[in-house]
Amino acid sequence: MSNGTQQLIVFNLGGEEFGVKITKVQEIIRLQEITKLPNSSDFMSGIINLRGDIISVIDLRKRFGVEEEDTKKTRIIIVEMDNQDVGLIVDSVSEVLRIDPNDIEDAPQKIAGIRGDYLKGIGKIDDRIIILLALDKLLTTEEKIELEQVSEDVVIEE
Amino acid sequence: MDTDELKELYATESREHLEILNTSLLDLESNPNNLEIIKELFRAAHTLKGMAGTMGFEKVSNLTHVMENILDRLRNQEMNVNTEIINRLFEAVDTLEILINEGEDAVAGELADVIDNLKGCASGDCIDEIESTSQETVALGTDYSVGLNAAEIEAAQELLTEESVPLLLKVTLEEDCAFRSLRAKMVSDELAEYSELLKGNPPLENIEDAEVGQVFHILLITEMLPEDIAELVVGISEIKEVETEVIDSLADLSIEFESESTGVEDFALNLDDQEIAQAKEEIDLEAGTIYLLKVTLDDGCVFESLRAKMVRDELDELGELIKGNPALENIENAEVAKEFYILFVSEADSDSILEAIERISEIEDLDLKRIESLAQLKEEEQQKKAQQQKKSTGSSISRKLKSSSTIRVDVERLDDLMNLVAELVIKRTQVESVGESYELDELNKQLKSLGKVTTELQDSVMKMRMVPINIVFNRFPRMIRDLAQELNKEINLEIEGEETELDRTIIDEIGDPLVHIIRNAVDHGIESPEERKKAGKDPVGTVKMSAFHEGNNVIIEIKDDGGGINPEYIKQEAVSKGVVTREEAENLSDQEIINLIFSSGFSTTEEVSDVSGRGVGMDVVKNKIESLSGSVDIYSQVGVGSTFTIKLPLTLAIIQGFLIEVVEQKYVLPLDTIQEIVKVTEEDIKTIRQEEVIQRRGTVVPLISLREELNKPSYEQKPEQISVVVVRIGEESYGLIVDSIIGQQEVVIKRINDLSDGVEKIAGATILGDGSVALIIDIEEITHG
Repeated sequence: MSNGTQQLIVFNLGGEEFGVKITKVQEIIRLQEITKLPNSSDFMSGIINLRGDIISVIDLRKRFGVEEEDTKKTRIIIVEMDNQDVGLIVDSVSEVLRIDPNDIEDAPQKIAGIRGDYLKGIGKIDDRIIILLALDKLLTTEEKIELEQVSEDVVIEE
Repeated sequence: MDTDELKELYATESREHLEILNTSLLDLESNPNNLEIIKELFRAAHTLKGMAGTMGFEKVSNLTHVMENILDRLRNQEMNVNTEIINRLFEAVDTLEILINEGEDAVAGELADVIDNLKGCASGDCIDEIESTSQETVALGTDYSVGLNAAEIEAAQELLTEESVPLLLKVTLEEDCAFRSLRAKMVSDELAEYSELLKGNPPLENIEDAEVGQVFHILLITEMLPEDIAELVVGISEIKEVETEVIDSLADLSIEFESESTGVEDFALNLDDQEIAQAKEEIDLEAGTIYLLKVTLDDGCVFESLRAKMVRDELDELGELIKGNPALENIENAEVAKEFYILFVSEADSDSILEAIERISEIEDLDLKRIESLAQLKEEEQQKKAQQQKKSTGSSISRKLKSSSTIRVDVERLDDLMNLVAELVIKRTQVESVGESYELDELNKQLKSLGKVTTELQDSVMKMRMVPINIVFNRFPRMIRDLAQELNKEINLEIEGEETELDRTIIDEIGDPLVHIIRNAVDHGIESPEERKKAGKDPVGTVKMSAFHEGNNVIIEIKDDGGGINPEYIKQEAVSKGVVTREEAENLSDQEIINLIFSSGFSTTEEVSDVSGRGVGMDVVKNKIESLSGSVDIYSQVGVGSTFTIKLPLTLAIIQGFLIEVVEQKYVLPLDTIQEIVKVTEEDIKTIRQEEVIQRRGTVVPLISLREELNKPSYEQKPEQISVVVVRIGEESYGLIVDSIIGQQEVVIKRINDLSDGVEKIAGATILGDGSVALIIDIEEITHG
């Protein structure tokens, strides 16, 4: 393994491929019953019982405006975010990938409707494009407000 | 006991003494002529000095030494207590606090200032200059830093030749020397090559494993010149200073006890005629009863000499000391065994003497004997010596002390234990649900008794975690005093219910909010003495803090008799700061307006003062308290004062819950808020001003639909029987409409990771027997929202 090679967990969301650093991932579990919270943000799916611990779950599909459809492949990726374990709902998890830092490009300002802030970069392997997520930025307060406004906008448009 | 544990012990004990210093100083300020308080202060400072010295914390021992000097002069009434001195002493206590809590390196240059200030306030000349090492101010050699018993002297004499002399070395290590015991070993090894080592303090055998202070002593016999020996030692790194003294006669170093011998009792004191004569001359033996006290220390006792010293000081207060074994002078530097003896005269009766000594920690047993006369004691001792027999004189009182039954435990360990108990409770409910679904009667019966055991276990762990709130309250007298002085106000602080116990986690968190509320009360609440006089009030303002239990809650009240909160003023401020619009403000009741001070972005001071304008608003206070599942309310009357009422749960971990269901999801209501459960029909529900209410026992209870509150769809068709859970919050009752009722269950509260700020109306979550998750409803928010 060459210097600085990263290992990524690659997952799919609305046909796009995303990646998070493997070191941030605690485990991947099947979709299980989620207890909904009243009055919480739209993308906050609810909480689950993971072997006695209560873990909050974020629906990344909602977060990124992708159609929600629970299938056999739907997974919850448990990641560490701000020193807390958080679950992320994704369409499916495909593989573990090694990527050379040279193959990672800076993120363009806007891609696939996701604001540049929580993009760490774009990984290019052969013909594939993998969007690297910066987990810590996924939920900063600013972002939350931004997102809530976006969802309000969506409601108005509808 | 390893060094870390020792340091931890030192820190904890030091904090206790700091506490004493702080409270006694406050007492002294209001009773400047009370000698007892000064003595108390002196003792605390002295003990601190002793402990710091033993541990090698030079700065602490330096500072306490200067404090001791001042206190000594106050004690001898060479000067009088004034505010300046008190302030300086407080300053010193603050510095000590930093030194003890954050380590010796935390304070550098300021220390000298504090010391200078201290010395300055005692008008200079009378305060002794302290030596840089401060460990001992006594001349070397006379302090018996190395004592020899008869056998040792004899052995040493044999080693002496015409060319060699006994030499006593006092070696001082660098302050930051990390491996003291290692250095001591290097010193002793080096010396062993050129001389015959006799004895060391600490003992030379296994010195590398011993606790070595910054200063240690070695006695040896050598043919070399003292200067050459000193040079040898200084050559070893991290050695700061070496002092040598040639001993003329080894007998000078003799001490009359064997530290390791257990047969001390037979020759407890070795009184001789000369000592008896001297005692008769110096002390009025007729003034009281002569007692011989035998003290047995705990096996775990670390600072034996320190404890001995504490006992000595305590007895010194009660009467006149005659003799001790080991010798009473410099007992803190002597080698003290687990047992030691002190002979003294006192007017006090035996009970009060025992009581006074019992207060000292780490003492296992006390044995107090009345002695008819010194001569008789001497005779009996000699007889015993001859017969090697134990025989007791006079009446003897012996007590086993309770103090040895307390231990200190790391909070983390208790937390772990608590978590395990919580797991156990969850597992038990899981097994219970299996038993119920398969209707296994025998199992269910057994589980009931298991349930009892787990509940008891839980209770005892909870109790272990409970600490009295005075841990928090204790810091306020000092704070109020400082604030009052700073703001030129006169304030009297009353504290009530400081023994009320709360969960440790809550205690840890509640300090800051309380500090903030008190600062506000002193800064904004209490008026200046002139204003108070004008308003016809006592110029001295009063702040009253009280704590008490109410059901499963603890209430903390902070009440001041100041100017109160002016709603008009708050209204203007709130509008100008954009917290509310003018129209909104006009529609609010006075109480609602006052509650606006809890809104974020609201701070009421016109000018930012040093006291409360620290950028933390009351909104932070409220958030903090709410994060502890508590609530805070203000009641205020202009011109009369304000009262802050904080309500906190006794514990955060496990509650008795009541399970209900709303749209196929289970929720938990805290059982202690529930008054009753009623079934009502459509006709029972009346409407008052568009609000649905029911009548219960003559009072009107407003109804709250949980479906609505929890953002669930409302009934398509209302059921005939509507289940209502009546809860009580403060003085008010509310009826919560639920779909169905499941029953009572013990639940373990788990916090919900607040990712979205949107977890309103929910206090937490819990895992039920079947592994599913139920949300715990925050009754306060549901009813007030």
